[in-house]
Amino acid sequence: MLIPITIRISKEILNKIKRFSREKQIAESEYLRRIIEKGIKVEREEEILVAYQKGEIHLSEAARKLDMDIWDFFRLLSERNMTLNVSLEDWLNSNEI
Amino acid sequence: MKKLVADSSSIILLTKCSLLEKLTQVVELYIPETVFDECASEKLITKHPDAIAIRRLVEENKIHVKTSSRGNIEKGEDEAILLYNEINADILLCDDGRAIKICKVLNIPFTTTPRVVIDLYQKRIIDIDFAKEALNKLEILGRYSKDIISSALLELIKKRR
Repeated sequence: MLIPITIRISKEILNKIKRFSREKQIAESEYLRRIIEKGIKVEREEEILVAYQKGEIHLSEAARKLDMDIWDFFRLLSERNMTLNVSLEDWLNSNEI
Repeated sequence: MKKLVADSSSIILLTKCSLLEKLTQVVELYIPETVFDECASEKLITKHPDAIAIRRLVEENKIHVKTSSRGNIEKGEDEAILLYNEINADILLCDDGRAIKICKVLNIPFTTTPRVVIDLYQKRIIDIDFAKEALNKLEILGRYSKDIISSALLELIKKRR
């Protein structure tokens, strides 16, 4: 079920919405729904990856928050060209088994 | 043999490098149930065929799966730390910056997968080419930084037999 909301946006943004939705040949509301969904996903991913990189959350936690498994989280790091959050100092301090 | 507890990232990285079974030759390997689920649940096996190797080692009793006394707390890394204490393990294997931070605070001896590669070479479980290949995989697939892998390669060469 779709729920109507009201937001205030600039004339400039409104013109872009009109232009881009026309280019895609979809209704303005449909175009907005798509970019809001996409924007939320991108924003959430960015926030979680930053928290992971800072060591604020575990790798498994980051994966769970992104609704993916740990195998896929490694693939995501690769796609974003990011590294594990293990530092050179961590490696140098790691003990022999 | 030393008792080693591992978290999910390490179990997956070792699997990607074909080193998991080799590690079980030199340590008693323990994982919490949550880690097993995070790496090799029924659902994951169909999606990631590499996970079958983990399940096989558990079935062969080469990896021991233990339930923490506090039950499932949803974060494999935290459960691995709890299990380390509960079974009086010797070392914790983790490739997660936050888990390593906790180990430092709690004074828990920890290690990482690149160190495991070097140690397996030193213990003559793998040869130098296998070790180099594993370190390369840790950079490409395991997302270890170039400076860590370069440092590990240097250490490996210094220890060359």
